[in-house]
Amino acid sequence: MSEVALSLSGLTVSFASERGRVRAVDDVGFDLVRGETLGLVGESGCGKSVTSLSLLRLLDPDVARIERGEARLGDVELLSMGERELSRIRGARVAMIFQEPMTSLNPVYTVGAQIDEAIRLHRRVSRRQARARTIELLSRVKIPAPEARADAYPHELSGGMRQRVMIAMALACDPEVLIADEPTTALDVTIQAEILELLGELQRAMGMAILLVTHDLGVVAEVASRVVVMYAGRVVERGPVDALFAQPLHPYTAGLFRSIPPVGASRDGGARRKLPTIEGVVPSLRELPRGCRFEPRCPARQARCAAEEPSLEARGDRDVRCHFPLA
Amino acid sequence: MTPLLEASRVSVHFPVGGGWLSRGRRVVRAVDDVSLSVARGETLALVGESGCGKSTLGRALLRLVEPTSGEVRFDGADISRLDGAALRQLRRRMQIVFQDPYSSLDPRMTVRDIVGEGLVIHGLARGAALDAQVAPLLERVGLPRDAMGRRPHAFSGGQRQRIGIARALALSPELIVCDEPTSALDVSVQAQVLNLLVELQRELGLAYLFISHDLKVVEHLAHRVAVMYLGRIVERASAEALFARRRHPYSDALLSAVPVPDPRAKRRRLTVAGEPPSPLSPPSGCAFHPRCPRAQPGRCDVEVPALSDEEHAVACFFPA
Repeated sequence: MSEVALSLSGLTVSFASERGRVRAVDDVGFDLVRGETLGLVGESGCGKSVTSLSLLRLLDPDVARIERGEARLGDVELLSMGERELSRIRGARVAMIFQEPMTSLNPVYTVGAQIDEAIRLHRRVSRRQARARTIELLSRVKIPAPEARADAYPHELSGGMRQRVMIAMALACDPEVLIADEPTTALDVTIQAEILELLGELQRAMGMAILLVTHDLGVVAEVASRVVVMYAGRVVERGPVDALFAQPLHPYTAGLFRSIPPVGASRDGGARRKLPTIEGVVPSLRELPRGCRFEPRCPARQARCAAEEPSLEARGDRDVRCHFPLA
Repeated sequence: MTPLLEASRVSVHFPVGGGWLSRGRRVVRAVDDVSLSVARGETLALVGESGCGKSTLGRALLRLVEPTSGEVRFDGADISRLDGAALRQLRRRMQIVFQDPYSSLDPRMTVRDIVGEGLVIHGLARGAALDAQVAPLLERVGLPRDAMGRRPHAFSGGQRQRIGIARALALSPELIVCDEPTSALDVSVQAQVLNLLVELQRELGLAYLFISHDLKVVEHLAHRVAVMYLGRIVERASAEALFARRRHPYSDALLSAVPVPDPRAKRRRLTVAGEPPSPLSPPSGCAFHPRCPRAQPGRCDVEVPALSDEEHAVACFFPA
C-alpha cells in the first residue's frame, strides 16, 4: 500500500477583485504519495500555482483567502494550523522551489550563507556543522567544487547552478514533500534535462514526494507518475500519466495534447499542417459559465453541459469532470 | 534567383567595459562569422539556447544593432551602409515581432495607433484613411472590430501577440523576423498564433526568420533550420533533413533534451556535460568541445571547424 505523504481536499481559494471576490481555486484535491511525482498541469490562470502556494499558505492574506479545504501532512493539518507551528513545517517537512531562482535567492549573501541559515532555522547545530551540511548538500546537487561555490554570490552562478542551489536549500532538512513550481521553465532545454534528472535521482535516494507544478506536458510525461489537470480553477481530470496521456477522458485535456506541435509528423509533403486548437479563450473568473466551465469552448458540448456543471467522477483509477467523457 | 535576404560572414562584437584600464580590450563575440540566406516565402529557423547569439543576429540583419563586420543584402542590395531615407524605405520591407507581448506594446497607445504607427511615420495614411487600413489588418489577425480604440492591457497574451503581428504586417513587408513569438504563450494559444503565421505566409508570400529555442515549434513551422552555438552556426539543413538526422553532436543533444509528451517514449537522452561556456571566455578550438562526447584532443580544442559547404552543412571535424 502506497503511503500518502500529503492529502489535499476541498481546497477553495478566493481573491479580492474590484468587483467582489472571485474563486481562483474551487474544490481542488489530490493525494501525494511518498516517493512519487505528481504533475499539476494547466495553462496560465487555471489555479495550479495558487493551489501549490496555498499548501504552505504563501499567498498574500490581503487579497487571497482560503475559504475551505484540508491539507493533511501525516498527523497535522496545514491550512488551519497556527502561523508559528506552520513556520516549523515550512522549509523543514515541506519545502518549495520556484521558477526563477534569482528572485528567490538574496543577492547580498553568499549561497552558502543562505543554505546555512535554512539549516539553522530548523536544526540546532553549530555554524561549523551547518556549513559541513551545506557543502554536503551542494555536492549532492552536483555543484562542482562545492567548498568554493559556497562562497559565491547568486549573480556569479548560471541559471542552472542557481536552481541547483535552490534545490540544495530545499533539501536541507530532508523534507517529506517538495513542491516544485515550474522549476525548469526559465532554463534552457539541455539544463532542464539535467535538473529533471537530478530531481529524479534525489527523489529515489531520499524518498520524498514531489508536487511538480508545470505547464509543460512533455516534462510531466517524463517525470510524473500521476497527473492532475486543472482548468479555470477546477480539477477536470486526474489519473496515472500513462493512461491519461494514452487516452484523455476530458475534451480539454485532449485539446491541450492536440495543440502541441507533434514531433516528426507535422508536414505533408512540405506543407505545414494546421495545428488543432481549442477555440475561444479561458473564461474570466468573474463570469464563469453556469454549467461546465469548458462548455463554451468544448467541441463535444451538448445541451446538458451548459445547464449543469459535472462533478468529478471516478472511472476506474481515474477521475474526470465531464458529462460525456471521451472513453 | 537571388535570395530575399543574404548575410555573409556577419559578426557582431560587443565591447565589454571593465574599468577604464581595460576598456576596449575585451569583446564578446555575440555573433561570429555567420552566413545565411532566406528565400522569398520561406521560413528559416534560427535555433539555439540562451546566449547563443540568435536574437542578436536577427537584430543585426535588420540593422537594429550594427554588425561589426560582414555584409547583409536584401533583395540584392547591400544594406550595411544605408542610412536616413534609404534605411527607412528598407524598414518597410522587413519587420519584427517580439517575444514579449507585454513589454513590446506601449501601454499608453491604442491598438489603432500601435498598428498604424508605421503607416503614419511613412506618411501612408492618417485620420479616417488610417482606420480604413488598420481595420482589415485587425480582422486578418483575428482581433475583434472594437479592438481599435482599446489599449494593450485589455487583451490577453495571445491577443497582444496578434496586435504585434498586425503591426508588423501594416507596411506589407516581405520579411518578418519573429523573435520567439510564441514562447510566452500557453500551448493552446501558441497553436492559434502558429496557425496564423502559417496562413499569412501562404497568403502573402512572406519570408520568416523564425528565432526560437523550441524545437517542436521549429519542426512544425520551418522549411530550413540553422542551429547556433556560442555565436556560430554549427549545423544548417532543411527541416526534414535535420529532424531526420543530426550531424552535429550539439544539435543531437539539443533535440534529445526536449521532453516528449508521451510517457511511453523511450528516452535516448544525451545529456551533455556541463553548461554552455561564457561568450566572454570562449573555449579554444570548437566552442562545443568541452561538452562534446566526440571531441578529439589535439584537433577539436585547437582548430575552429568551418561550416561545410554541403546541402546539410555542419561545423564539426567528426560529424555524424
